[in-house]
Amino acid sequence: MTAALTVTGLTIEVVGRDAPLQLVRDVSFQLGAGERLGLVGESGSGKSLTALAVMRLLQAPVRISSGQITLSDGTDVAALEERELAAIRGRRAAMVYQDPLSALNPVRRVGDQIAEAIHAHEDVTAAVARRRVVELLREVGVPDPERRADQYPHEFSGGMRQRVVIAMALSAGPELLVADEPTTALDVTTQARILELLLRLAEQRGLAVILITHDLGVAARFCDRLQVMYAGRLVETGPLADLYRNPLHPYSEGLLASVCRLDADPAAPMPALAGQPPSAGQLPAGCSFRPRCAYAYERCERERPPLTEIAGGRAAACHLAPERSAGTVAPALAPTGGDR
Amino acid sequence: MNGLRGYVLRRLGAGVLLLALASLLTFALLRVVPGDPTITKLGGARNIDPAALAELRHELGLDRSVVAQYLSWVGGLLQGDLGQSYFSQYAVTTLIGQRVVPTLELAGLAFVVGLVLAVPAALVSATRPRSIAARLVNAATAALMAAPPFLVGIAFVVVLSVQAGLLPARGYVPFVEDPLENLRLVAMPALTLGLAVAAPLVVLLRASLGETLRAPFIRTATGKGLQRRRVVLGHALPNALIPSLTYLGVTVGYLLGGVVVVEYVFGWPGLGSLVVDAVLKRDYAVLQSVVLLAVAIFVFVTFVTDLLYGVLDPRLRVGEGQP
Repeated sequence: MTAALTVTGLTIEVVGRDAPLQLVRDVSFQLGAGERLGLVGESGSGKSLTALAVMRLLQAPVRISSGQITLSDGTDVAALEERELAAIRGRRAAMVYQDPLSALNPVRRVGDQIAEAIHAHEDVTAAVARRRVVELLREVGVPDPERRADQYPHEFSGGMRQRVVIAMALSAGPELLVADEPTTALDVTTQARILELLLRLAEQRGLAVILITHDLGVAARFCDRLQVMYAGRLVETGPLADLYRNPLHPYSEGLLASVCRLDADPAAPMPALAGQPPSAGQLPAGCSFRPRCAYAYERCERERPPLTEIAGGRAAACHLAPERSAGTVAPALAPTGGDR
Repeated sequence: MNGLRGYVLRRLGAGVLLLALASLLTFALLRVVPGDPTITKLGGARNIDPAALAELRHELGLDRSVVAQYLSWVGGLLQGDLGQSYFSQYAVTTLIGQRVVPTLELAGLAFVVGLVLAVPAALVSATRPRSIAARLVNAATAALMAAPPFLVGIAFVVVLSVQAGLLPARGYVPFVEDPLENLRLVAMPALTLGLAVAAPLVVLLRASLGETLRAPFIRTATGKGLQRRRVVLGHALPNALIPSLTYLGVTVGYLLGGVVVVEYVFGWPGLGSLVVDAVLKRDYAVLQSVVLLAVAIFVFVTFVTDLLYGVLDPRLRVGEGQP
């Protein structure tokens, strides 16, 4: 099976007056054809930057400093010139954005905005493009698509707008869909419908999807596999069920513990990860998660744990991962850790 | 479109009210300013025969009460009669009519020149801010913002007329009489005014383009595979033009109201020079009507500008409810 996407050693930096600051460090992963991968983590963990980098949509002063982003046909997106990218964007890989209102041009009719994406990749007449636009809108569940195509974004509700953005993303028949927090800006019932729609479309069209989210509930309903990012690095990856059942990285464990459960005791305090993620310029020595980690010990301060394959397609960047996998680790007493 | 009709009617009503107030204010102000057309006409303030003065005042109707004078002016206005100039044998309507055509020509060309210069300059400056072209645009804009138009005009005259001998320095020939000479004569004043219009527009447009180019929908347009050129011209520019619309409206009003100094530099017989002459001679009849015309132009242009907002930005369209 050829991978829909192979990312190798992706490093993203922001260029300022001082030395460049690395925001995403040495991220490598693979996405199989038709696979749905969840990229989760707190704000600032680098998950959205990674997604934008795949589309080469990072804006100066943020840029890819090294790494390869290879599509199924071997094209390295990271190495392409700006004008060569137009043929890739939309056609091979397309994106769905967090806020569908600001993602659409407010002064152009939505039908025209979708048609434009079709014309960008195919030499078709306006009438053909129009017919395709109406079909796409119908496919994503916009009622009365003939009429709605002639309306402007502000005449749509949030959920309908996101359907338009999804229709636009599908218009040139991509094999890879990058969805950056596609449900975050929507209300809860709409979130569920948009997620269902994405799931149905991904299955019908055999799309490989990267879903960026900080909502583990969303990830659980949508993804085959999860990747957890922390402070610009991948800290854990694995099949959804395994990762939920037995997180190998303490950060994943903390994230899962923070999920609000309906059967929890309402009087008990909401579980939350203590502390703040470090800022990109001030990463602690050793493991970036160490200051917040309940299991940390002396080695974590000296040595940054690399992302290491443990078993069955699982990998984690934690010194304790093999033991955690075997289920033989109890947390140290103090978050700073003691001798073991 | 019922809402639109109501809106237009309301705006028209407000416009008429504004004109009425402006007529009152103009009329009152002119009567307060010292001096009088009769004194000018009799050749200055010294040695004037009081009898001759009184006779002339009676002849011109200036011995009537101010209220009566105002009412007779407004009454004439409503019938399309603006009265008689105190100094020329022509009716005020004729005088204004003679000046409107050159003013329209100069204003129209200056506006087009301004747009044609400013839009590409702002695009270069905003999309490639570090390029040499952008730096040149920024320097030229700053210089033109600082230099008054008459200075730019005189510089043109010195270089293009006096030294190079390419264009005539000043004058006016109607287009219908000699199209080529007309264009040769209008070139320098139109360019001078065009530059004066362009400089602030570049500054405005550069700022709003810079902002628009960072908007998420620009990323969407790029992300669907459009070439950079299509993204900038098809998505960024239409949105960036919206905030400049008010400036463009005011500019059209300013150009049509007569641009005194530039008209003087190039001997262009537009409304602006008509006003100056009328002020110097206290030619009330001409002055009050031209000022009122300028107010009417401003009111109309502002109204058109507001309607244009609805054309450029569907969110601001009047009378269209949510679906």
